[in-house]
Amino acid sequence: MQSKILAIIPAYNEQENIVSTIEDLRKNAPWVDYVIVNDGSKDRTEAICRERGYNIISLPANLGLAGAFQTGMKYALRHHYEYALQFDADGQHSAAFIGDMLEAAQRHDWEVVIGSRFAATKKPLSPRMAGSRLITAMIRLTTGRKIQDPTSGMRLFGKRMIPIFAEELDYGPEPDTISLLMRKGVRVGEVQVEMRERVAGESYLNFTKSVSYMLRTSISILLVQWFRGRR
Amino acid sequence: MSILFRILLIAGALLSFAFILTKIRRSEIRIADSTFWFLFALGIVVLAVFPQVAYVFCDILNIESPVNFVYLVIIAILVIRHFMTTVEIAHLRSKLTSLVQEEGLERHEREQKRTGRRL
Repeated sequence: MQSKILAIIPAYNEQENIVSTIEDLRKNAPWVDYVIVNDGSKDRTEAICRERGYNIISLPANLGLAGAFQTGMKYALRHHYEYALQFDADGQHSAAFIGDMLEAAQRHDWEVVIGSRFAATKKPLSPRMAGSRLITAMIRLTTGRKIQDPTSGMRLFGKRMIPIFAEELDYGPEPDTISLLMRKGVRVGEVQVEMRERVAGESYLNFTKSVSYMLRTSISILLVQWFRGRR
Repeated sequence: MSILFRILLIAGALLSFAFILTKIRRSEIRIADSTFWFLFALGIVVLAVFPQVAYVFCDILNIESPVNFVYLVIIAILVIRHFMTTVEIAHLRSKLTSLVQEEGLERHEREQKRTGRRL
């Protein structure tokens, strides 16, 4: 029987981590369906998944995180899932917390649930968290509400969100989209989760990329979204 | 505008004409896209041959040197053109994205049918 929740796992060159990620899901959240979206990896990610019989969509060209995630959302829409979960392939996220997030979504009737590192724990005062603090402040400024961990990549989306992410242009799995949704009246909540450091491979963000990420996010939250409509 | 500057403008325009024609002959750009560049080069020739045009506008806009008007026109046209290119790239990108996504989803569907398996 099909589960009502689909974990979308975008994967780009994740041969080191993909097996442990999927095994974690199977072991700690066996009631969750999953789909790996292989974003044109150049390593053995696809081969490994095929050998093991994992459910994988392989894109013929690299689209980047947003394009890969959207593919998963299209899959969720076509297979009528009630919830879609954004889940990293690099082993940072822990399947054990999916239950808490789903439970919170149902109890509070939240349409977006963020797996948050700082919902119950205090955010550390490190330079790495400066960006996160800034985004929290900007979201508070524009929506009046506080999101402690806007950059968390572990997010659960309810049924009404799936067609929006599947079909609209520029609804990437990023904090500015969350802030836009909040401004449109979508109920967003946070649930405390623990995250691991990357197990293997290289982090996507280096210094230059962080700066350009912050600029893009800031301009999007503070300026662009006041002018955005739906197609 | 000095004679030398006008000759420079015309030479530049002629070079552009030659360049566009080569590209068309080698089928490297579409004829539809070449129109803009032909008109652009033609505009520069007009400004070089009839500098009075630039003088008139300089008087109206209170620009001291006619050369500056020529620069202004060229820069403005290119900025607009560049913006239009950005829009076009965005269109192409979103078409490409949905094609790649569809192809991936289709293949997955076919595999599932072939192996007769649902997750």
